[in-house]
Amino acid sequence: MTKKNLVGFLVSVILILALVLSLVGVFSQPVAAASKKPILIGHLHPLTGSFAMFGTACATGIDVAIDEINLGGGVLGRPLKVINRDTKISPSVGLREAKDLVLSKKVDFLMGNISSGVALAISGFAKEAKVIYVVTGSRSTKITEDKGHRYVFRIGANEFSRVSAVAQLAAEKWGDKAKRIVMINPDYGYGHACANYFKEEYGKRVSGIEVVSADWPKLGTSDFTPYISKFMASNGEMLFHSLYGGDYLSFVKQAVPAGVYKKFYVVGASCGGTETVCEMKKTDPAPLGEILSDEFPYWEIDNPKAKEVAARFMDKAGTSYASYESVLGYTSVYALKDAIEAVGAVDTEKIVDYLEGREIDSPIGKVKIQAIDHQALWPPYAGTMAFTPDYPWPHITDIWYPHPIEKVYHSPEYIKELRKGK
Amino acid sequence: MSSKVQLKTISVNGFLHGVMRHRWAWLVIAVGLMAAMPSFVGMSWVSILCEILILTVAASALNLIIGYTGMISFGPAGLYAVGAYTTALLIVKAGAPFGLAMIAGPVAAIVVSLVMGWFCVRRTAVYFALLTLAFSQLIHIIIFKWYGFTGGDDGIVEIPVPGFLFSIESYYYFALACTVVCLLAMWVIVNSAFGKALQVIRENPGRAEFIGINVRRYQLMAFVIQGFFLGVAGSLLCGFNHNVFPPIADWTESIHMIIACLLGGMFHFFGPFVGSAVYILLDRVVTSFTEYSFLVLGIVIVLLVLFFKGGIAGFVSERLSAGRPKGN
Amino acid sequence: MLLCSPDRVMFKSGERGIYSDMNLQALLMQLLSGLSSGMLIYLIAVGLSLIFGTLKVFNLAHGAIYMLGAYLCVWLTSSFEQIPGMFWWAVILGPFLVALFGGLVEVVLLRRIYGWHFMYEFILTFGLILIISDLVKILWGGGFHSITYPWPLNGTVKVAAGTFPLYNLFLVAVGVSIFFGLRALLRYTRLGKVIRGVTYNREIMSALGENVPAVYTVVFMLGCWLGGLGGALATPLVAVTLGMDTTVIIQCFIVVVIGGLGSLTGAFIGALILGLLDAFGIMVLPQLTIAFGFILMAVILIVRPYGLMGRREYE
Repeated sequence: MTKKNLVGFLVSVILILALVLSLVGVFSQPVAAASKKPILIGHLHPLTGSFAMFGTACATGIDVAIDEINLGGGVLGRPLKVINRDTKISPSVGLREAKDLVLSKKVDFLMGNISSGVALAISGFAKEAKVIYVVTGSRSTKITEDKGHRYVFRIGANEFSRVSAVAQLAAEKWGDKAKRIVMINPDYGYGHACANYFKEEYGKRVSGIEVVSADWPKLGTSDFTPYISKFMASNGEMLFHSLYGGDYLSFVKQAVPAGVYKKFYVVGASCGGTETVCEMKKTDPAPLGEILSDEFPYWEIDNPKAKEVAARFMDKAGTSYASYESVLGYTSVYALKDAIEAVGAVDTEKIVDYLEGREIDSPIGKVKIQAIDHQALWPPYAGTMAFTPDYPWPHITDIWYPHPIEKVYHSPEYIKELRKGK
Repeated sequence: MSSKVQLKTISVNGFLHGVMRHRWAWLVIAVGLMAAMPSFVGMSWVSILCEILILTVAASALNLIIGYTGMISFGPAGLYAVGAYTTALLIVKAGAPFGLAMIAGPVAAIVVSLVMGWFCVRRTAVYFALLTLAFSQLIHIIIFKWYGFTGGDDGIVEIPVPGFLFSIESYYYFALACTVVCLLAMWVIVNSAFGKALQVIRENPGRAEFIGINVRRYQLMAFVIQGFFLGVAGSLLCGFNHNVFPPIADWTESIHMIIACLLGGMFHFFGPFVGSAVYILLDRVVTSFTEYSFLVLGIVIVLLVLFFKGGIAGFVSERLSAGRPKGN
Repeated sequence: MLLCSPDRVMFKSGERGIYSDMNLQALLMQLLSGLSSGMLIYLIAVGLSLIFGTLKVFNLAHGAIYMLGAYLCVWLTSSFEQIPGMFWWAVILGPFLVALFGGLVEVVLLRRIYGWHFMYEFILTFGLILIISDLVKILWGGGFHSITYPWPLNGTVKVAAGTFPLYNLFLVAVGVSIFFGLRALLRYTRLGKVIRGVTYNREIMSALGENVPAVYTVVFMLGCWLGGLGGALATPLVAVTLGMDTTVIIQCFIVVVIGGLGSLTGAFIGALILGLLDAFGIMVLPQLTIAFGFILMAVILIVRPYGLMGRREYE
């Protein structure tokens, strides 16, 4: 037998072994004493690719919460355990992983996600399987409004609330000076929704606005030069965007030297997040003066618990910043813990009933979960980007969010109408 | 090489030889085993098996033109998505009955593959491949951008599937039946005169032309047949997932199908089935054990190409012909 | 569309993205942006084109090579910040390391599959994308990395009525230099002549006593060097993150197809056309931004499959 055939033989043995292993997985039953059986949380998030950062940040938050809870004796005497799965930003992979987690690993809860498409796919399955799915990072209003159902919750803001907050702040600060708007949004559901919501919310407070230019770069664009030169040549006064992550970082690096931040008042829907700008130094081109929104501006929140928990995240992840996804994962785990303890068992229906309308505890204060759509009324802090002496990276300052917080989320009446209409 | 390994090889060959001789009996047993699976394994695995069946249909369709006709297509995902979205849109927007929508999927795929194929078969080899890729990406973009109609990247979710097909187990039986029918149909096609002509075209298009085969027309027909079965796979996917999303039309989906074909052996009829099964099971096993699934899968793919050029089925049949007594 | 005066062109205003007020100077700026965009794409795609031209291998992993170059540059620059001008050292060292890696890949993997059907190369290099992607994740994690414009290129330059970033102009200059540099290499040096010979007919070159496998390795390393260089030079401009490989490889594909498979001049022209198409396309039809590249690719493949400067042989 030649060397090539030998290697081929060995490789085939490996492949057959893999098949056998998977079949073994089929027939083996995990055995554990009922009382000490862990309560399982299935965490789905992209762990590779350009959104890996958000997945690992959420995992950090979940891990910190689980460590704390287990140290304190667990939930009803049972330890909490998380199983992390990579969705690879693909709805079919996300669905497959969700099915495996629920049907094979028998998780009690599903959690996570940043991509709205994937979240919708998993949500559909959660509804069929009657498993609670707590969305953290995905921002589409569809998840809780049009396509909301009994088993899906969102702990975190949604796109409407964030856009509404920044629109209101922008209207207050710049409404009299900025009526001609230039827009750039990634060409997909989130980008279009943010653009429409901004027009609505800003337009409500500032009369006579006009969108003079609207661009739709593909999600994942890294070269914004043609867009920048296009709107630098326009007569716009304000720039609105919903870029985030790597796109936002690339955009800022190109836009600041080109003078975009001098010509325009810049408003962004998202991305006041630390994980994106964490490597930006004081000497680098930075988006100073931009109005952005973030869900965990722990540097300025008036609650000592925020900084404390942030420190724990930084410790766990080994980073010099704490990401909003971490606090969302953290809060979600604690919300489930409180619900389980309150109803006395891991009973999905009772937990859903308990959480509806409930004010849950979080490191930023008390947050109410709206009964009609299971959307947590998470404060979408808006602020102006600046450097402060205490932190090496730029972040939002003078944080504010509209009060009362119900105003910055769609009302139950609106949602009822929306659901009836479809 | 040591005699121990030789002995092992010979007995493996003997076994495989026996299999090949009683081919049909083994096939019936295999189908029976597949049908009995739900009684032995959990729903999670039945779900995986269902995915394998759907990928088998798609990869076998692709094999018709890659393996049998020798035309490398990089764009099966586009037609696959056409089937899936047609079924989804008919059910959700037009309220069509499930059966009608499932049939409409492959029919729409035939129409689109006719148009796509007409442009593509006029080119050969690399250019054919690239043009199929471009068309497939355009289909992806159309699905993605036509928000009002297809829902864009929000997808179409909660597609109502009739009650008797709703559970994973019952849908599995349905998919198994469809797969068996499709494979039977494909078997008939590849063993017919038409199928033989396709293989002649693969080996030597010039000569085929010379003996009177209208190469372009046959290639187009093969492309359309491929489109039909890809549409079936897409429709099955729609019914299985109860949703459709634009990424099923993306080039990475095409790559999965090509790998399944290659892994199993693209010059063998059951290659795609073996390839789909191994590919999906491997992915399942790897993702449960490690966060670095890309690394492991990448290494497997590289090893596969280097040492398993003919795929698993190719390797198996190589062993067979090695073990066969000389003069046969 | 009304021509009111020689230097003002009026378009309909509004959310379709077309300006209400545009003049020639703005068009000039857009032209410059398009060229700069195109040149950045060229810097990345030229390596792919070179590799395909000589080795007839479609290296899908070229985007991953670009990503590797970018990560190496960022890592070197930020780890050795205290050394003045570290970015420039990183630009020299990074691509060199990438080229070594490319050489390893060529010798161990690609050498075995030359002459096989192109589908195998496609799938093998796809496997490489997965491997390199996870290697980068293991080495540097999944976060967003960034470095800024290096001195002395961190300013802007006055162009007509506006300003243009100096670094982008620098990239244009680099792109043009590489174009002429490669031409010179291929035309006037001995290595270049051998490469062209091997491209034309590898058997004859082998018969003439040339070490063809070594030439293949050198060409592949050169292609990877160019890809790594593209990545390193892009780092001040863009966010360095996982996933930057897949977004870039599609653009390279399109460029190489438009220009013509195997033609280096074609890659240059193709890149410029793509850059300009994007720059002017977004002025007229911004809603179709994501479709421009593929529509152009499909049109070229239907109408003139060999691309603008391609040759017949790749059948």
